[in-house]
Amino acid sequence: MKPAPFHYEAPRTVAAALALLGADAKILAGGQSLVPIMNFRLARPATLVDVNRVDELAYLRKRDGVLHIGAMARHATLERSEMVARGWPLLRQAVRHVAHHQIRTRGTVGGSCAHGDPTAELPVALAALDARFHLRSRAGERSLGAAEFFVSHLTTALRDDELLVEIEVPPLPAAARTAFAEHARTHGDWAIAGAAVVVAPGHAAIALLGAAPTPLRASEAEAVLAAGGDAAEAARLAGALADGEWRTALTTALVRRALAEAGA
Amino acid sequence: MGAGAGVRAAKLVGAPVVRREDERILRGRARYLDDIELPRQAHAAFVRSVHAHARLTAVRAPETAEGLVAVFTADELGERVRPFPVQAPDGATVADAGHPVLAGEEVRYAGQPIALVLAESRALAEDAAELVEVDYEPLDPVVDPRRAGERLLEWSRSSGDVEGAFARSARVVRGRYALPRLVAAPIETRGAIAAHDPGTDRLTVWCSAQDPHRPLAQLSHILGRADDTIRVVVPEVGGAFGSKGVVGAEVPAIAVAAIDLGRPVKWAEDRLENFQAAYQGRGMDGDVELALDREGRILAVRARLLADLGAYLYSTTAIPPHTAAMLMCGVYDIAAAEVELVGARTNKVPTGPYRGAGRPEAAYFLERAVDDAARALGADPVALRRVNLVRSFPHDTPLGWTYDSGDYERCLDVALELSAGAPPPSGSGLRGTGVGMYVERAGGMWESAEATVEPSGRVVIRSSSSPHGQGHETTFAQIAADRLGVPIGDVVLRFGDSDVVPRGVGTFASRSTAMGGSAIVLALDRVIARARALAAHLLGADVDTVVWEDGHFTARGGGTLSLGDVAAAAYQPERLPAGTDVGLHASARFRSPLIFSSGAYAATVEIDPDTGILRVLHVAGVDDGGTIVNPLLAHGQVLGGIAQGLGECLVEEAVHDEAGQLRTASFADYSLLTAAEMPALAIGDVQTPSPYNPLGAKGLGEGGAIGSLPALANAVADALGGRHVDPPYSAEKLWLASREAAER
Amino acid sequence: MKLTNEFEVAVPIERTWETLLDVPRVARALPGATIEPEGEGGAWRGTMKVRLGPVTTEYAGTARIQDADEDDRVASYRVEGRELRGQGSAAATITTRLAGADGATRVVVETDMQVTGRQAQLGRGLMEQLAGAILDDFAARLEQELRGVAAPADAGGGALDVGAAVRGPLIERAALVGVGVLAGLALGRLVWRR
Repeated sequence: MKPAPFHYEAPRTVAAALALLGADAKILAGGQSLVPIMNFRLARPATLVDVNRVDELAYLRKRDGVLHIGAMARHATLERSEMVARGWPLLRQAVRHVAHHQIRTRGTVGGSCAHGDPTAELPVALAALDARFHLRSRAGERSLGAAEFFVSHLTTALRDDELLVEIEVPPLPAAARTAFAEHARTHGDWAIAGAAVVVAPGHAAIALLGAAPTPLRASEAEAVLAAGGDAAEAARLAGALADGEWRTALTTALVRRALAEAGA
Repeated sequence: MGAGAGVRAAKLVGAPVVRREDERILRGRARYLDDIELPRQAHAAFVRSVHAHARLTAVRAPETAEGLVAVFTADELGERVRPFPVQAPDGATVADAGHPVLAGEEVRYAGQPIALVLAESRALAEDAAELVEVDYEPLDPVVDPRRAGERLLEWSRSSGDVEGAFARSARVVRGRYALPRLVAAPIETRGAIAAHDPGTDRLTVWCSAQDPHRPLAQLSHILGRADDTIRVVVPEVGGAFGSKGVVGAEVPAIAVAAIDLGRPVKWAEDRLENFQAAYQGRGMDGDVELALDREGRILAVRARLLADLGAYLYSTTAIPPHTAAMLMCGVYDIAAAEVELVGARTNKVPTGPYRGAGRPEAAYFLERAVDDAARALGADPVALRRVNLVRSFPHDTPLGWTYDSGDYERCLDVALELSAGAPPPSGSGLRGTGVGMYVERAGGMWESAEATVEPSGRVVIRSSSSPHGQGHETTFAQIAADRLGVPIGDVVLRFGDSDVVPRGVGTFASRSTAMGGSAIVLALDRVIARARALAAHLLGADVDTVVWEDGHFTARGGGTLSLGDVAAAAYQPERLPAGTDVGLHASARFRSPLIFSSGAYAATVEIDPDTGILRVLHVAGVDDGGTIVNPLLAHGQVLGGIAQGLGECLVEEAVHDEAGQLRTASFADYSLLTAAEMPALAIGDVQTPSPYNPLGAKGLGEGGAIGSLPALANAVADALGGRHVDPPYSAEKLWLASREAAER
Repeated sequence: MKLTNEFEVAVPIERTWETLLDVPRVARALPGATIEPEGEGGAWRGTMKVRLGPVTTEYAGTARIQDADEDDRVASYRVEGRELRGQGSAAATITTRLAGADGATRVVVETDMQVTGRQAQLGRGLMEQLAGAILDDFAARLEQELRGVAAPADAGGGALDVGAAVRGPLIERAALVGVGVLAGLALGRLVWRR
């Protein structure tokens, strides 16, 4: 499968990249989602803007307890980071499930979020962590929460002239424990259902993978758990959000497993 | 290392010799089809039907396109091609529905090639192919073989008093069992390069194929060319699993183009094409009835088999269903059998052989029925099998084949022993165990070999067998080195080039060691006979007094010559007796009836009732492939077969929607198992030599895929309390089934 | 692939029926569509460009009334298009059924759609997503057309971004028509499916 012809640009700065964006341009980050779609000729951008040389986008920084993930941070970098593992263990737990090792060395956190695949692990984990997404265009910057950023299947709030530059993750509540669980047909395959959970005294986050076209926070279940309620009940409430009897059963079981692992 | 070095070779047959071919393959020095670049080659892409069934009313090529060289449709090919040849297995009736090269007035499956587009690069060819306009009049596709109006294959056989057996039986058990279509998914997709020399009118086709013989015969028939005007060269092949036995329709198309354009034409299939247009495997269901007496003896088997053959027949399309039908007595001594086989015409890509090619289907249908019978009788499934096993050989089955040798009970015993290694029950899941036994036909027909001992002592063997990853270069070298008493490094194997190797049948049906290996043995025995005569002459002794041992000829009266010494002399005419040909060379053709491998597998599984997720805890596999030449490679074959058998059970399924569109056309949707899914395995073997060849070898390449399937299927049925589910065993299917089973 | 959408307009059934027989107006409701004003032989030509995330498809084809039952107020349209680049195609028979009550009309839109080409073969259920999103948007735009309100401007490049459009019509519909059921139906269509 050869992609349709395209014009290729490789800017070195964010400003240069922004100048190239428009209706018929696509950003090339890790390429692990976009390139196959282009090879299938389902996507035919007129211009491919390769941001792999935009060094200013690749970073993992903690400042004042807040994690700043540059959009071009590779999955593998996130996976290896002890800083991330200490402060936001959920991210390491989730990224381990992303495809295979080889793909994680190229794929990026920003790319995965901007692609908006409802079965991607990091968007779900970031939704559970109340992350904020920073978008920049030549007109300025704006930041959105997960619920606003992820709009639908393969669709985010990113406008054609915008670049996702950073994902900001607040510190976890004190004494928080996290877990991630998913089910896929085979190792490394896209997940069918999954859950990212954060459990702390008076706080609970349960984000579901595969229950909707975007990561879905199971707010009723979270409320039950935050109020000290029963984990099994919370799992049932979360599972009910999935479509169909089997998916409900599967999601319920996965949420239960994740909650148990997180000590709930 | 020269032959004269006098190194005594330890016995190599039966030794776990590490593969010789891996050095070049792993270092990237092997040349696969796509590595071959010919000067001025044009690249091919195909316009393929988007409809599963339609009339083609017009095909319009673009006036211009960047890098466009030419566009060919069926009109341009015209009378220069004929449809693919069709073959009827013994006793079968087949329709005259050979696959056309390029579609004419009608397309019958989505993915069927309509036009060949040639350009200066593959990317440009794909760009140009998009500009080709095709006018279709869509027709309703037939997707369900049970609703097919047309049959491509019919076969039936009845032997023994089937009706009487059912009438007097104590119990009749019936069930319907189905296996979906699968994609062979070799790591290297198909491809070919065609080049024509107008001076000699010789057409050379490099082809990623299972052997050179069948492509040559197919091209000769389709192009109407004498076969000595065609040369087929098979380079290194990255797997086939049966899917490269018949060349794709694309190949004769590029051959005509190469002749017309006076430039080589290369077609290297991409993965999407492979999914859509390479013939698929399996796709059968069976209605099986067993008549049993009070003691659990199977008095008769009745089966109606339905094969979803697809839109056209390739020469091998009818073979797997026919094989399945012929094996419906399995390892059991059943006196009466009646089998009816229908191959339905559907609007899908044709089917063909895929690892096991009919034997897994037969084992699945029969073994599931036997387990269902055990459950109906309240009998232990293993005990029921023991009551019915064939124990004396040769054994004539009512369906027509004769099993040469075997020890089915021993396979079963060893499998049960090995399965004791399964982990204990976890206590939380639905646990199931199952056994699956099989017998399969291997070998048969003939193969050839030519052996030349060069003046240096090197032995060059040209084999009509052809590797696609099995390791023939190693196993055949072991056989040859042992036979000649020379170091294995002195043996060179040549495969795949029709100008170099002798004619043969091909590599499929686990036949190469038994047939190709035996041909080598025969050829080498002739070499030794000639060398012995020459040694006698050189030693001035009577030939009857010359002894051949450990690569040396020794005259009783004194004097000894190595094979290398004799070979060197063979090229010096003045040293030869009058009337003797120069050189040391022999050829042989080895022919044998079908031989039968067998085996027993046992599986242990657990189903999580909350989610339906299946865990395969343990698989024990015992195969009887006769004499094993290389246990390391044999083990590898079994492992690979098990991976595919488990894949078929757990995740693999080629899905067509009601419009005939293939919905699993990439690895995004069609899943393959990874190493992480492979369970704990215990592999054993039983070796009952075949009486039909000098090696005693049978076939081992497919057993893993044949035995694992029914064992796992029976284990899943056991976990579900006897409820039947067809593979693949998705969590959703098992969850629904376990709930229904719980409700009962 | 069979899909159903329903909505209600505060427009009498006769006027609704008349509007539905105006093929260019109905065809304009197809997302990302541009229709040539003059038809020939009852068929109007046009193009339709659809985008879902990075996936874009552009079709060129025709739309026509297949049959119209004046008595029962059922009209069906045939829309057929071929991909501008590539061999894929899309064809749909869209049947609208009307039921009138108190100066309002309930419109049921039943669509039988076939898509061939890459979208069908690849993308893990992409075809159903795309088709569902297109039909939802079509129903929403048709409703606006019937109410005499102009359809919302297309996002970027003349293509409809069906993902982004999800929110728009949903909110508008809920606000203007106040039928919560519809929002639920549309959301149901968009629930991700394997």
